[in-house]
Amino acid sequence: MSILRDILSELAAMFWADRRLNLGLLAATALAIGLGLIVPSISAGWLPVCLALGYGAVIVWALLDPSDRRKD
Amino acid sequence: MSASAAVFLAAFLACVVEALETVTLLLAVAAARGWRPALIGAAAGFSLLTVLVLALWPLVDAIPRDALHLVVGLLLLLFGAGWLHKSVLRATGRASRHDFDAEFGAARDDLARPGVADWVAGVAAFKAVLLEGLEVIFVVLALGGTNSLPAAVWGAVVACVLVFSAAFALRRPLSAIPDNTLKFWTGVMLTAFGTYWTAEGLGGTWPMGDWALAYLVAYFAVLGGALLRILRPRPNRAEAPR
Repeated sequence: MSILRDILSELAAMFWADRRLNLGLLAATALAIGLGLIVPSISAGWLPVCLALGYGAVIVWALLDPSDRRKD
Repeated sequence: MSASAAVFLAAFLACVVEALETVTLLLAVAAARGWRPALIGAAAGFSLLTVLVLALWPLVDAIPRDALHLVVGLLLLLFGAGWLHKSVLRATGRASRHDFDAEFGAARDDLARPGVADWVAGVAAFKAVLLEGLEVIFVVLALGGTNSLPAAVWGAVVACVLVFSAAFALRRPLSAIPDNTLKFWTGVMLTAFGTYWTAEGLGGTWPMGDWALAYLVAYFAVLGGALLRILRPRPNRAEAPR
């Protein structure tokens, strides 16, 4: 059980270390799902393009974080 | 490049990156305590991973197609963007780079201390295989779960066989392999696949169909390359010798 706990805590630590990026990507996806529900006509054509641009913006935003100077 | 070839390449690159980390620790266990605990720990890890794959695969089959695309897309996106992010941080000096020789030396010295039992070394080998193997399984199932499982599995198998046989033949970590460059390109490919499948899972239709994968790879590569240029530290002119 302790090995399982170690592995789960390492996976959680990996997620948390990049929380700005991971939470940003999940938020962008949630926004796209919400947008698709509110405006169904956007889904087919523009949604993929908006999603790609949104993910790109999140990656840039996460990398430009001035506090992100880690020693891992 | 066909979709299957792209899946093979993405799985191959991802598995090379993970196998390099695993094999470094296995070699350290072998150097400190001999091959017996290293091989027993690794075999136990591989066995548990096999059981996990056999248990997970029917679940993957049972998930409705759109939901599967969304789950797979998100998984690949989180892994891929994370790797892309980390490789840019390392390449620009904002995070320390992997030093396989130093990691090998530190793990070997730690396990060779008096009072450390062989089974502790075996557990270290087991955990290394299990933890890195879990990432490989996520990536391979996610890449292959959509429609190219044989290509993803072959990519993983070829990568593992190449890395493990080279490291075991040389009996030292494969420090000469540019792991950060591999991580960058793996991140680019997985992020592209993740974006593609997430949008498909949400009911979107990509302009130009499967060719979207090609322009998504180009898009994230250009984005990552631009970030590398922007974030790379410039020599400070004020401090330059006159």
